[in-house]
Amino acid sequence: MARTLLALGLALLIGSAGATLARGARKPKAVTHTVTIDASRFRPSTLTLAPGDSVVWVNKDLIPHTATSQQQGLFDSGTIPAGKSWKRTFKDKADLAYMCLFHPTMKGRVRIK
Amino acid sequence: MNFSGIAVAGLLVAGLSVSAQQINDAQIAAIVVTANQVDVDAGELAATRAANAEVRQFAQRMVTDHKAVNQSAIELATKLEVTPQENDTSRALKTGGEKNVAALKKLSGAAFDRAYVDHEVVYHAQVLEALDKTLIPNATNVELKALLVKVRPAFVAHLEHAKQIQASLKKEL
Repeated sequence: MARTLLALGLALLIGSAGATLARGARKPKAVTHTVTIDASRFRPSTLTLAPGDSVVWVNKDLIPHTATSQQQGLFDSGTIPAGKSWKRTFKDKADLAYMCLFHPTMKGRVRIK
Repeated sequence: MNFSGIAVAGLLVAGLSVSAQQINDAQIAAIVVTANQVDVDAGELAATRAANAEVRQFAQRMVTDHKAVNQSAIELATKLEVTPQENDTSRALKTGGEKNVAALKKLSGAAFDRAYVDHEVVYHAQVLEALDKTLIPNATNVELKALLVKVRPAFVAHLEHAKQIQASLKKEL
């Protein structure tokens, strides 16, 4: 009887550990990060994320801005009017410098790794 | 810097030095609205008249941004029940803006572009100086002060952008 109970207990433990391992091995859930545009700045100016994560740029400034990759054609929000936002998902690993097309002194960076 | 730029800078500084000591929120509101409006006026002219595409885009940006800042300033003044009050600085700005537009209208092509951009550099530098030395320190209403602090970086961005264009226009000479 004691042996049976021990075996059962062990089986349960192993089963539980297996389930935990399986959960741990699962792909982490994609996260949505926020970059706030305010007072003509991107905050945070550098953001690190995992492949599959998204970034939403929220324009809390009084004037329109863009979030546009410095390397042409990688991503471009177009005009983000004051009070509006723009979301983009990044699937591949990359180190992307971006800027506001309207205000070239405004610069930011998204690191996907 | 061209002659009209120097003249406008002189007018602005003269206006600021007179009223720096006793400026109130209603006067600050008038200065902010006028400062934005004169750059909208110059921008509207340059957006259609400039020969260089980059200058036209910059001018259009000035129109959009300064109109937006003015809209926020007017909304805040209305909310706070502050009637903008004209003063030496706002009058100097208005006169300077009118003289600038009149001078620009006599020009065309590359000469127009250079004069417009030179003036933009002077104008934004002077408005920044006014924000730092007079407008922000003297604003008593918390929301008005916050608005001025919030728009300041846009003026810095405009100044740097204008300087970049000014440098690229010089290379074309």
